[in-house]
Amino acid sequence: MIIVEKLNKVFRIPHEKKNTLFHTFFSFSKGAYQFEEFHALRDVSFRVQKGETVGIIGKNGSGKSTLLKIIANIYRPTSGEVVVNDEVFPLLELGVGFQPNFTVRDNIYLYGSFLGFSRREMHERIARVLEFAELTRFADSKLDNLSTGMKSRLGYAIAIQGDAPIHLLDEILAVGDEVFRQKCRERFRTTRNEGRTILYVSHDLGSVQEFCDSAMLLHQGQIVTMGSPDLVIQEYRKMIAMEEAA
Amino acid sequence: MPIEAGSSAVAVTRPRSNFSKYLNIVRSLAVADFRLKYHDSVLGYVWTMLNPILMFGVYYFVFTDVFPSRIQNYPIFLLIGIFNYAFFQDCTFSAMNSIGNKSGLMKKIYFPRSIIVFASGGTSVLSYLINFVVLLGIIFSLEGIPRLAWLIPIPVICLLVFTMGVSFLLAALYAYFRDMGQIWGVLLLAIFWLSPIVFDVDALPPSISRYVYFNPLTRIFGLFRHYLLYNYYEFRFMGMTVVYSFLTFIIGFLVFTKNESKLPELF
Repeated sequence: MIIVEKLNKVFRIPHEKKNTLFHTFFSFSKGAYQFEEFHALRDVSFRVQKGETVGIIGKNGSGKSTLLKIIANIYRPTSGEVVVNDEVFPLLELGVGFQPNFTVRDNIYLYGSFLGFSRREMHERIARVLEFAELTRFADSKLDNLSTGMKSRLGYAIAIQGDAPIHLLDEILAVGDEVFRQKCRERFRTTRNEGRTILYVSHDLGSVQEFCDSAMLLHQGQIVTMGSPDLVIQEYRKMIAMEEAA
Repeated sequence: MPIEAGSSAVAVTRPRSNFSKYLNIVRSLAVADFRLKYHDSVLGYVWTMLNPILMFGVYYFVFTDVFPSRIQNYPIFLLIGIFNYAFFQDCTFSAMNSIGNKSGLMKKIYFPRSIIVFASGGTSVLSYLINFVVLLGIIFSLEGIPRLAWLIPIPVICLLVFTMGVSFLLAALYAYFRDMGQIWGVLLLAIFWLSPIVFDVDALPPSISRYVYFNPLTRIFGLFRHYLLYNYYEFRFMGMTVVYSFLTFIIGFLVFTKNESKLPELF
């Protein structure tokens, strides 16, 4: 279960980038440190029940990723309460920490360790990972020699080994060709049916409609509506249409 | 089980984290760094040993032929200083940069940020320990095994603990001040000449050596030489060195963890 109560996140964006000691030391005289406040999230409150799949939609910069990052414990809230009572498996980007100079096999172990797998656990899964990514033949070639598509497939194949009860997914179904996407969709459906709690950020409204039990529309850091995916997507389309008309 | 409870306005509740999982990340990162650093080859490793060996050669030439030193057993005296200083330099520098190099990872996956510094330190410690075995081999073959050689883990631990403390402090500072790299480069040069690496602190007049002893490295290098070169043991001196080293570590680590949650936003 995830409980978020009156969550606020404010980023301070300094007027002049003062991140050297030299600069800090020699600009004391100019008076107080000036910055712009950017309210990425405003009074966001919601609950996600165990086993629920919730889609989060909204325009770029509406706060979707910031919200996931706070739930994933990467950013600290400015104020508010966050309760996450189970282990979280964050998938905010595929293939973070890949080493281009290592082989595909070594990268599987490395990435696996970031996702919380021991060497032994990864050893048991490596054949499955390679097969899913369709890269068995290239297990011992350098990652650098793989195409971009192959790398994302590999990232996805490792990532789906995650078995934590809560999954946070940021725009990760858009990987590979049509055949691979089909496989990803199937895999998503299985994950969902295994009773996991999923927060799913996407611009692909079709997949939100297809997979999510409910959806949430964020706009400028605030929740506009929450409810059945059909209604929320309708609302989102209306919002976009109104903005285009204006 | 709240892990974090910051100011009254913020409350974050999470399940207890898994220590063995984090240990596994430290190991993977350290091994990956080690492999990248040495290009997976023995030759790559030999190259990095070339640095202290070359430094040794140059200083040995300068202080035996240009300004002859009166220190007894000068080659070993110098080797001890240079090998241990090389670790201090390598470890602090790479730990400071590690926090920037791993910022991508930090922004996408949660783990205690100190893991990054521990892993970077682990890489440096790994190569230091290999270097140190080589150093001991040289000393033992030249001088035989000193009577107090079994005490050598004490200064090794002091050096590692002290260096990690400084590394944590620098890593935290680097997040706020991106020019720490340049600043630390200059400071390292000063530290090299203000620590008894090429000179003997006890040969200085007491009015000066008092200040040189404020530098924990002076004490740590002193312990190494006591046990490997002079067959000398003094409990008080050893105890103070241990206390200074661990105190530095605690301060550095606390400063780092205090700022830990802000780190991903600073890059």
